[in-house]
This record gives sequence, C-alpha cells and structure tokens, in this order.
Amino acid sequence: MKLRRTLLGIVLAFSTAGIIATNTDAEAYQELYEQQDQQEIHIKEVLASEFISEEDQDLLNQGLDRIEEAEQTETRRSLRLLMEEEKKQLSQVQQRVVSKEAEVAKSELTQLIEKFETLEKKSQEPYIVAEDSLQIESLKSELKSLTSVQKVLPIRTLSGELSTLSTQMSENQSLLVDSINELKELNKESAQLFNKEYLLASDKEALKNAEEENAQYFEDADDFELVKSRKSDSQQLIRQLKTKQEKTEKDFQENKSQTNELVKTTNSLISEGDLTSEEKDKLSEVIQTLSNALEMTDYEPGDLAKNYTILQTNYNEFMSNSNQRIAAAKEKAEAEAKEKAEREKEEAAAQQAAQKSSNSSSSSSSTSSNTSSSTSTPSPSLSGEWYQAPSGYKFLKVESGKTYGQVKNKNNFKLITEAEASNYTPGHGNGYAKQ
Amino acid sequence: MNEYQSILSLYQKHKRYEVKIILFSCALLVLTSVFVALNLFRISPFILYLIAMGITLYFALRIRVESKNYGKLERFLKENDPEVLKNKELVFFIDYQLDHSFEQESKGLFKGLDDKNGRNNFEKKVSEIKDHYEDLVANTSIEQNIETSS
Repeated sequence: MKLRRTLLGIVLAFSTAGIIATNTDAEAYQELYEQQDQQEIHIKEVLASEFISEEDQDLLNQGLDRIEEAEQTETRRSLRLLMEEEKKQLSQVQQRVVSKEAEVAKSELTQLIEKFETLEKKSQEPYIVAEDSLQIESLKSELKSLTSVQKVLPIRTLSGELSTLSTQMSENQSLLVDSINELKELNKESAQLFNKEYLLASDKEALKNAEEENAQYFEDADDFELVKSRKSDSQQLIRQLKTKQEKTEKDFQENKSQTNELVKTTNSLISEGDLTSEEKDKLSEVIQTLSNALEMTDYEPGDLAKNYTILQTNYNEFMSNSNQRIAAAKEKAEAEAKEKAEREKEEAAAQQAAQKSSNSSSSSSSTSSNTSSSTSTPSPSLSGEWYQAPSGYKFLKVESGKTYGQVKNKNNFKLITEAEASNYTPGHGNGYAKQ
Repeated sequence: MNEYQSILSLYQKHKRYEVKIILFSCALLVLTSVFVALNLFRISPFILYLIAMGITLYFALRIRVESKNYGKLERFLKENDPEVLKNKELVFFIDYQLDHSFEQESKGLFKGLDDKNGRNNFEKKVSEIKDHYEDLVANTSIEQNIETSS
C-alpha cells in the first residue's frame, strides 16, 4: 500500500509538473509566433509596395520561408535570432523602399506640375466654366504644399483630382459650346421668325432683345446654368411667338378678305342705311377694333375672327333695323303719296265736275296713269337671321342667276316675281341663301 | 555484526526510504525544469518529465528495502495481531525473515492466507519469528550489558 502511494505520488508530481511546463512552453512559443505574425504583416506591407526591388522581395520571402520552417523545429532562441535577423533585413529594405519612393515622388511631382500647367492654360480658353477655374486655384495651393513631399500617395491623389478636373473641364466646355451653338441656332430661328408676316411689333422687339441677349454669350461664357436658362427662355419665346404667328396667320388668311368686305359693307350701311347714332357708334367702334387688328396695332390671335363675328352680328341686326325703318319710311311716303294723289284726284274730280259742264271727256286718260303708278313691290319679312321673300316673289343672285326663297343679306339679292323667276334656275341652299 | 544488527541497519534504511524518494524526486523535477527552461532542443517538456518520472520510479523500486509482500503482512497483522503493528521494527523483522529465511516458502505462505489452514500456518510462522526476534533482542541487550560492564 505504502509503495503504491509513493509511486502514485511520483506519477502525479511529474505529470502535474509536465503539464504545467508544457503549457508554459507552448505559451512562450505562442508569444513568439504572435510577434512573428506582427512582423509578417509589416513584411507583407513592404512586399506589396511597388517600390521594392526583386532582390529585396526575394530576400524577405526567403526570410519568411526560413522562419516558417523553423517555427515547428527550432528552439525559441533560434527563432528569436531568426526573427531579429529578419527584422534587420526588413529595416534595410524599408530604407531602400523609402529612398526609391522619394525618387519616384520627385519624378511624378515634375510630371504633375507639367500637367497642372497644361490644365491652367486650358482654363484660360473660352467657354470654361467658372467653377472649374476656381477648382484650378484650389489645386494650385495644394500643389504648392507638395513640393517637399517624399511620398507618392498625395501626389497621385492630386494627380487623380487633376485628371478628373481636366475631364470635367473638357466635358463642361464641350457642353457649354454645344449650348452656345444651340443659342446660335435659336438666333437663326429667331431671325427667320422675325422676317415672317403677321408678327406684332412688340413680339419682333422681344425677339430682337432675346437675340441680343443670346449674342452676349457667343464670345465667351463661364456659367453653364445661365446659358441653359437663356437657352430655355429663348426657346420658350420662339415657340410661343411661332405659335402666335401661326395662329395670327391662320386668323388673317381665314378672315382678312371677308373682314375687309364686311367693313366696306358696314361702312356703306353706316353712310347709306337708316341707323341710330348709337348703332353707328357701336358699328364704328367694332370697325375701329377690326381696323386695329388688321393693322396689327392692337391684336391678339383670334381677334379678327371674334370681331368679325361681332361685326357680322351687329351688321345683320342693324341692317335689318335699317331696312325696316326704310321700309316703314317708304310705306309712309307711299301712303302720303297715295293720300296726296287721292286728294289731288278728289281735287281733280271736283275740278272735273266743275269743268264737266264745259268739257266732260278731257281728264279720263290722266286718271288711269296715276292709278298704275301707285302699285309697289312688297318688302321681305325677317325671320331670325333670314329674310323671307314675299309671296309671289323670289330673291335673285344676279351674278349666278340663281333664285332663293330666303337670304341672310337681302341687299345682295334682287327681288323678282315668280313669273320672272321662272326664267332662272333655283339655287341650292348655303350659309347665306336657301329655298 | 550479528543477524539482528544487520536487520536493524536495514530497518534504518527503510525508515529513510521516503525522505530519499522525496529528495530524489525534487532533485529530478528541478533538474528537468531547468533543462526545459534552457530550451536546448525542440522537444515536448512532457516527454522530458515522463522520462524523469520513469527514472524516479525505477529509483524508488530499486532502493526499496522491504519485500513486495510487506503490505500483505501489514494487513494480516492489522487483522490478527494489531499489537505487533505498533512495533515497526518487529514488522520489518518479520518481513525480512519471511523474505530471506523462508524464500520460496514465503510465496506459498502468503498465497495460503486465503484459507484457514494457510492462515494458521502463517500465524504460526509469524509467531516463530516473533519469538526469534525477542530472543535476539534479549541476547543483544545481554551482550550490550556485558560490553558495558567489561
């Protein structure tokens, strides 16, 4: 029993000491491995540098391989020695890399300065956007601060910015030139529109002003937004005036001749018709509006058609009124003439009776002639806008030889008896006359 | 030196056995730890400690003075004659006598402990050895007295 206890004690003591020592040993190696891992990170950073020579790359790689192999076979002391050696090599390689980088940085800085000078010259060209020119100034100050830099990174960063700016500058310049060319095209379009008929003087002036404003940018421009805005305004103006001119042209083509005719007819109605002063004023006012529109002194597209309709309506209404008044006056005059004739007849009869005793056969022929002269043509009746020919009568369009039962403007037609109408052909219905 | 004296010197050795083992183990542990700490070559420290443990175990078995049946003897005495156990010297003497005087017979004696006859036989032998021990002790004390008086 005692012996067993002793032996067990020995086993336990050595096993415990062995386990502790093994763990401590493993930890000590682990510490070294971690140090080596850190060193490897630095080594790989240096290996990744573009400035490292092939010899240095081989040197560091060999060192890494050597340590990797030794990690599982060599003692801590040997490993430490190898790591120290690798550290020295790394330091030497780093110095060479830094020196090489400084050399490259110097060369790239020279290229960067040349690149900057080219870009600075370009910024003096016309149509360079002001924002890009400002960026040039900003980059210039950055470039000054790089004169003593030993690293390539800031130089390359600035070089990248410079390239971006150069591209951006060219693109902006090209866009600006395109916009200016579009402005020039718009000016051509504006000039064509300017020379067209049916464009108001105020619109022509607006076109002229827009052209002048556009022309300001032809020599040089530096604000893309301004040019864009000018282009948009100019486009809008031209589009608007073009539409207006087309509407005006259409209005004039459709209404000018008939308006002139109606104005002429209305003027004759004013001068010859039986109109009240109020009606005359109203007609004159519309005629004046139409005259202004025809002369395009005070005109909006559609004014001609609108005022033509107004004048036509007024004309029809006042014409009808005038005709009625004339007819009434005529009837009155006829009645008076008839009364006068009857009175004269009575007087003549009285004289005849007085003279009968002396000469009973002398007055018979004159009585019959007076009777025949008293017969007259009946006037047409107005129904809405249409004049209806009296019964037994027809309207005759003298130029065409066509006859109608109803017309809008009876002055353009001659009233004839149906017997006379049989010599002509009946006309088909239209906007001005129908059966 | 008579038989008793020689056995007594062996008993003294037996008493120092544990101290020796502890000192040897400690020395070997320190030695192994120093070797591991020196890290002279790449080997798992556990193997080194295993080797050291092997050496210590060998040493422990090698310097053992009592027989391998010492434990069985103690157990027998504890059950049948606890008084004898108090005298460690006597127990060691009985073990020594059983191992050396009876030699081959001792194996049979210990094997026969399982049955009653064997136990009686064993008890008898132990009793004989005890008597012999007491004689030796008595003779030794007489001799010592004579030597002292002369």
